[in-house]
Amino acid sequence: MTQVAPIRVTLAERDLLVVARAVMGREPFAFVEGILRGRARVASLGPTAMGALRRALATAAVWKLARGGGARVEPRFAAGELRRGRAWEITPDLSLAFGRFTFELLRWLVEQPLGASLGFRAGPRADTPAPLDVAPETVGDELVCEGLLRLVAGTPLEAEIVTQPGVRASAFAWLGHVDALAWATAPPRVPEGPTELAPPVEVTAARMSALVRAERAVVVDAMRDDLSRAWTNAAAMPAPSDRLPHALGAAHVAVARGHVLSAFVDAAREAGRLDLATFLVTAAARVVPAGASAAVTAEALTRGLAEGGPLRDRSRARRHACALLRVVATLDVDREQLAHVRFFDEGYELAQATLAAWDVLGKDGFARVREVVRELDAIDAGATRREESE
Amino acid sequence: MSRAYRVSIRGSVRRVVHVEDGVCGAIELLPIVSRERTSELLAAALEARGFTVDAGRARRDEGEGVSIEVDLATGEVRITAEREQQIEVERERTGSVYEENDVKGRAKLQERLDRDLEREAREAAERSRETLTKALEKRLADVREELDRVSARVAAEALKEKARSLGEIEELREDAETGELTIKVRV
Repeated sequence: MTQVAPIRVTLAERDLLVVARAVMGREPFAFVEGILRGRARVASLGPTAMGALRRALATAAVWKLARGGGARVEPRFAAGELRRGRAWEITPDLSLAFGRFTFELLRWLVEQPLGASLGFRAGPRADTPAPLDVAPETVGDELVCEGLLRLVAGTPLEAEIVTQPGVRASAFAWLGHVDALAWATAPPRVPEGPTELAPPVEVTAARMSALVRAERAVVVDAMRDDLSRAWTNAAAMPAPSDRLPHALGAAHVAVARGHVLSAFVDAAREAGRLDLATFLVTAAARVVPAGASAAVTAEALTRGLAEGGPLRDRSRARRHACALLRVVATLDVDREQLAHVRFFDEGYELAQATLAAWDVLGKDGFARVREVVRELDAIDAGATRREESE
Repeated sequence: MSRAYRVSIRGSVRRVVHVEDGVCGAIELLPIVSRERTSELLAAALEARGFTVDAGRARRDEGEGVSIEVDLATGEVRITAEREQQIEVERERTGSVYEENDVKGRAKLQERLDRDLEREAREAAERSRETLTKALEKRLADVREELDRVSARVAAEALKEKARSLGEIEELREDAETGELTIKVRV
């Protein structure tokens, strides 16, 4: 093993370097929790620390892409060509630039006392972190955002991270962690009368459009395994959480899921990059395997819905349920169109490669998905079963 | 020394509440013929089943406050149930009031009684809504089956028309039980 010469940095610089490694998945949360909860002052980074940060981010980014699915040798599309290889091999001049946002985010994590406003010591005098107002600008910034949400997932500090405007401005973070970001803005209690459920304002067409082009598209493609796992887990209707024990919060999350996926697929369609939606097709194949009954699958996916209450509310909740399958059902039309791309047409190779990748679900699988969606939308779908109600 | 009295207060609430519930869905309309022609076929199929067609919508009253309405252009279905319910609640509350605080004590007792009456009236309205919802749920499975048959009927008629427009129909077999339709066309 190559020996790395030790470097000399200040304590605050060391904290920032350790947090950078953790955010990129190279250290566990427990290792950095003390730093995140504490305060330090990071005025700037010296040249030694800056060099170390660059190296840490660069190697961790490659590791992250490899782990997320980019290490497999398979057909990938880049720069107008379909080639077979690993994510970074097909784009040798791939540049994962980290911008000002990355530095500001890392500094914010080290300087701000996260978690101080939570727990039994919380109160009017408890320190609340200053908001992180910078927005991600580069593909590296998006990777760091997603990595941070992965780091704090399920921890007490997650609640403070998901409300930060800078984090919420990352389209890639929304694609990978929609539930955590959506729960942060769910209505705190059931209001009087009917309520309109608004989709997240941060997920814009422009941000999604950027996600399916240039280096960001390479990253989305490389992280397909992680994204597929995330959306397999997000297939079922979210159950009311401990924080928000009512159905309206769950419906709010379901609406956010639908909005994120629709915006992403629309952007991919417009950019001629439906191959990037393959992770959704892979997730759907897991959720609706061959032999599964549509009625039983629909029931299982909506088990988290509150029982009882007006039929109108249950029916509305079901219409928002299972965004994954609803969006994949729309891809069936695209599948038909891809199959009609002739060999002398532009995009033939990519169409064929996409169809081959979507074979994991196949024509029968797409039909099963449509059947499940039909069950979800059936008129008697939200009703208590007849033998139970008699 | 002040004396305490036992006081009883009676109160009642009488009101008429409007309870309602409903679901939305859609009849699947395949694009076999033009949208306008599909709407006409849908209208005919629904009229044959007792619906009244007017201004682009078909409606049927099911009794007991339940009605079905279909948008002929989109196939959207609304099933609503509503009723007016008379609610009557009477209660008596007994409590102790002190001589020097008689007025205040009675007022507090009255406040508690009013809250109890309001809560019970809300619960009675909710029970009425639950009964309405159960009555609606009992019909939904049958309504779904019926609308599925309407959808199949519309598709079958549309296919026959489409086949006629393509050429001469040599053979037409329809299985009423399974809904299977076989059309042979000489083009």
